[in-house]
Amino acid sequence: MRRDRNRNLFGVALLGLLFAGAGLALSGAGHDRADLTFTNGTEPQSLDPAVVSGVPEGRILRGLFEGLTTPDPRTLEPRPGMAESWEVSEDGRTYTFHIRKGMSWSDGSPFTSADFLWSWKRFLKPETAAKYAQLLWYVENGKAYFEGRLKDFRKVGIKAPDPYTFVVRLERPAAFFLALTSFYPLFPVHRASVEAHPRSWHRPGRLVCNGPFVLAERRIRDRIRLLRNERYWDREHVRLESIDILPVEDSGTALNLYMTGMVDWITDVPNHVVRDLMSRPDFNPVLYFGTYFYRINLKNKDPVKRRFLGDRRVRLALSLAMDRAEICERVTRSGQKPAFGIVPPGVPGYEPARLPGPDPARARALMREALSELGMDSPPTLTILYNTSEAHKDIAEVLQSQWRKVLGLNVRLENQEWGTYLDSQKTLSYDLCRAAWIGDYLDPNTFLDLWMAGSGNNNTGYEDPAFDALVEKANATLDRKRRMALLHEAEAKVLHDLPILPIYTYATRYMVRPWVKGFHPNALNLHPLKDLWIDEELRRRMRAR
Amino acid sequence: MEGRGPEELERLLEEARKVRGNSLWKDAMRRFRRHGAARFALRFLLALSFLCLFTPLLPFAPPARVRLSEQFQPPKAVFVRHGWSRGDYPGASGLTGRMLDLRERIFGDLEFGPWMGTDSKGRCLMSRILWGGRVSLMVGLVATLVSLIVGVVYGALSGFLGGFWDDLMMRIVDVLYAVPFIFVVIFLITVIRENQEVLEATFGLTRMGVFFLVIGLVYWLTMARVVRGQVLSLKNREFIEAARVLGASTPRILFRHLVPNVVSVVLVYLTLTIPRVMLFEAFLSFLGLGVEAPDVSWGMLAADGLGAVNPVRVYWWFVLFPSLALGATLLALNFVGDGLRDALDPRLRER
Amino acid sequence: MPHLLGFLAKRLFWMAATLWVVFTVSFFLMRSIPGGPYSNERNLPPEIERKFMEKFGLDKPLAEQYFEHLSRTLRGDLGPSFKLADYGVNRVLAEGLPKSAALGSLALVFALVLGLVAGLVSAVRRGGWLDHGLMVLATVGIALPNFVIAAVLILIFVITWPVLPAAGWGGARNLLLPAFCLGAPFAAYIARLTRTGMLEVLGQDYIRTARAKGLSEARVLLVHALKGGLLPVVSFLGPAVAGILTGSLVIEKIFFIPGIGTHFVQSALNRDYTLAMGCVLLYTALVYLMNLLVDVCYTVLDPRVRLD
Repeated sequence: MRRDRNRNLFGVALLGLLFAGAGLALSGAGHDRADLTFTNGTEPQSLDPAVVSGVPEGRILRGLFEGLTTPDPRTLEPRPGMAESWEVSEDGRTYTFHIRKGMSWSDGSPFTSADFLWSWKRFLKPETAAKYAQLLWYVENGKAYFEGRLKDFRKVGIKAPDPYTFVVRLERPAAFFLALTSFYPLFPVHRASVEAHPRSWHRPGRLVCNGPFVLAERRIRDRIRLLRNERYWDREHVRLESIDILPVEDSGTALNLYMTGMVDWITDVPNHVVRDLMSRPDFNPVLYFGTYFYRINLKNKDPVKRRFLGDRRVRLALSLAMDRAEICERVTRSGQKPAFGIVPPGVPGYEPARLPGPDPARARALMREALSELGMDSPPTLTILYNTSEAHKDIAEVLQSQWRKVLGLNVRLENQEWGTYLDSQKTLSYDLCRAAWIGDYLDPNTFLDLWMAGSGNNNTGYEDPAFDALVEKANATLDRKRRMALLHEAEAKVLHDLPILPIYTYATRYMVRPWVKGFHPNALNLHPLKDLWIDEELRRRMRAR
Repeated sequence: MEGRGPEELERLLEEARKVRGNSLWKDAMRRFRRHGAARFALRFLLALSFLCLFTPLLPFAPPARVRLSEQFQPPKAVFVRHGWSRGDYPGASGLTGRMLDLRERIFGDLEFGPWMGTDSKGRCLMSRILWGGRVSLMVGLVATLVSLIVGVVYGALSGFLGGFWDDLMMRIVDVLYAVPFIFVVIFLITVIRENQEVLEATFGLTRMGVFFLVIGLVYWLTMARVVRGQVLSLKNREFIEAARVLGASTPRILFRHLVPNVVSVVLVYLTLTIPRVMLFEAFLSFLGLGVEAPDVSWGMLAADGLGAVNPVRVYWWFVLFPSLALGATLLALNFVGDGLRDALDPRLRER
Repeated sequence: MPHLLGFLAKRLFWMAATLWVVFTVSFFLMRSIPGGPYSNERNLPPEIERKFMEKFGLDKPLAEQYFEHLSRTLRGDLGPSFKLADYGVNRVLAEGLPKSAALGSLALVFALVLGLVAGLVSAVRRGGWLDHGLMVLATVGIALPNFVIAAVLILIFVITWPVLPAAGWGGARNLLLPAFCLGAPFAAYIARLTRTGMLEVLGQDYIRTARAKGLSEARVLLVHALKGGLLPVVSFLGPAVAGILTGSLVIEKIFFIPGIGTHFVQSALNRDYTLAMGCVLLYTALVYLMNLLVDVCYTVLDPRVRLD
């Protein structure tokens, strides 16, 4: 009988342990609701503006920090931020920023131009290993300092002659430099706290910032809570008291949260429901500054495929045989537009270059011509490479079927998980490969300098000195109209050579409740937290219904 | 007694053994046939395998043909039309190819359906389920066999040897459990991608072959543990002691006395493994090893249904039919397993 | 007692050895696959990638990295995470594990209660409608992918009849649905294993003896038979508990639970070497401890099994 009792005790103790554990883990998880709750796609890699490179990170960092300028949510033009005004020199190489007086960090310490000087120096330091370091390579001697060739920072074109003046001298004119100053990697960080806690200064309670909000709480893959920064220079215009940011990765889960009223804004919706959401007033896709395209490997390791894809007529035939409209209407279905060029529409003053529309007859003729000239009986079987995802598979399957129908081309699909896919793309181990590019700033250059020889994101084997010269000439041109014409010429050139097949222009896929005000649709899908506010009256009324 | 020599005794024993052996198997067959549910389930499985095997002969739409004008159609009762084409089966060769040629001669370009509706790209779901069954049943069968053979032998040995060997063998299992299979899988894909020609030419090892192997090799671990646990509790029983005292050799004790006694647990575990294997196949396909479009499998179809049930609109047929196919197969497997166990386990005879 | 201590000491030694082997195998496996933690949709310019590698010591010879990583791990520091750059791996796991464990415990309770009751009932009512019904249910539990179960439950209990929250981490109410979905396949397994084990035991002599002694049927079943019938369940539970406590990628995604299940898969896909290694070691240790517990349980349940 004693053994029996022992055994029972053993079982009870085990169960008790389980429940105690559950209770402990749950304690302290309760929450009151924030003014605004939104889903952010994923857990941010870091809250250190210098080292990150993603859109979800940007959404949070724009709430915590502020750069020299900030983008206007309606027009995306730079408007005064930490700098209340600026001048550009005649030669377009020197930018002088006038920092606002009397501002302070969230811990009360004064904010001066020395903060920018120190932050940008840190950003360029090799030890920081900033992912966007190339942004400051436009600055005089910036690249040399980053690479460690230059040790003396005083020779870099970044100066703070007095506490309220900040001067940047560029290597050569770069018309888009002002837009870069509102980009999050160039946000200032607080020297004292970074130096005191080099590895943990970005934790709640330690993070000192200069933006509209401060970090109140952060739990990994659970939530980030922001509270209004009472020391922010423009606090009268910040109307949200608190914000909860949820790193929800699954768009289906985000939709469930949205539908049950637990969040006010979701950044993505699942593919299956897009068709049914189109009729809802709170789902309004607008085109934004991104292109979905296929890369073509021009340096294929297989000699047959290399000759085949190396022929421009073949590449043009592939493009002419694609029915992009069908993909947008039947597959992606949420406001995307067929793309016939690489630069998406929406840049003021820029006339995009365009490929010819679908033409199956001409596609077949071109393919026949190319094949007979190459001495091939039939086209080789090509493989479309994509990273494992339902959406990419859908598009690849449709293109597979279109090319088979029009050109009699056999295409295999190959999906690889993310890391392998990136590696295959980088080492040019593919035939055709799914890709996408989202512009960092509203300028054609962000889509065109990709195709220059030696660009880290070319990945097609395309090299053409004439194209490189066009882009470089354009960026050294100060006259905006003339510059845009040159960029147009560059785009036309790359579309003629066709190392890529543009497929569609992205559209936003967010849903936002009508009581979230200050939310302006724009081409970069930027919605600064500072400008948002809640119409409580409307929220109450709609909730009651 | 005294008049008979040892040879005589040996001969009699041998005879007795033969008779008993035969009747044991006959008994088992008889008992299995009496098990109504198991008999029905076995017939169902055979019929399903037949159906899947001869799917290319049936007048359904090509499983991979995309028809974007027919997206998201709910199931329709009767529907016959023209439009089938042999060209929609790239890569179908060998027996499958010949069956398709035959089908073309019998039915021409007629096709029936879509009785189970269409998916997000307008493909006939029914056709996809039947073609998917070919892959899934194959995966279930081969991978489970691999796991069965490796797992039972390994587990029985480990449990029986005990002591240091048991420790060592179980620690190896622990290590294999812990090494993240994703890395193993990615590693294998890379190696295979780089040496594809060599592998196919020298070993006849295709992606599919490796895929079966990987699944089997992931699943034998639990089987080994289950068998070991069972053997551990059996090996101190009287009949094993008796065999040992009588001087039976180790392999003999292992395979004549121990393994038959773990059959019932193994069978049940097996019927539990097959569904997991089929679902695991879907997961691996997502990581890029295994089934590639345009091929399909049940696991992939089930995974395609992710998101089909949502607060905005429910595409019930996306989820229902693949789950039904998977569920019915597994249920049948369970009944067969039950029937087999009852038939093979003499201890249950009197009940 | 000294016997038990000796047994534990031996097993702990084996555990350390296993951990080392797992560490070594995983390390070299991880490094031999393509890609790296710096891989990104936007490729870093080569100069920046080089700085990144220098910063994290990825440019050193592999053997040197191995010993560095090993010695750091021995000191109890699993290193910084590459993709969650603000945290060390220790912190990431320490924040996630209790959540996964809480969810897992609840799922385990679901699984045990439902599974044992169903298995017991169907063994007793063998061949009857109740038996068939329960076993069909158990099969469905195994056959349905758990995201389908989750989607249907969400549709019922969150959308149509809003009694439970859709997702998130907060109160106990948030845990009910995910725990059920996580536990369902385990419940089905346990039900089937219990039924088999019970049937096995019910035919044996000591049960007949117990009945002959005139003990009540309930006592025979619950005390004498269940004990023997539980053996296959217990040996299934070892790895299952480790699996259930470390969570599930799918369930964590659907219900937005900040556990560690996601890290197991995601860190491998992201090539977050240090985090992946942390997950591997944690999982190994858990499996090991659970199996140790199982082996101890065996001796408690079945006196004929000896520890050694």
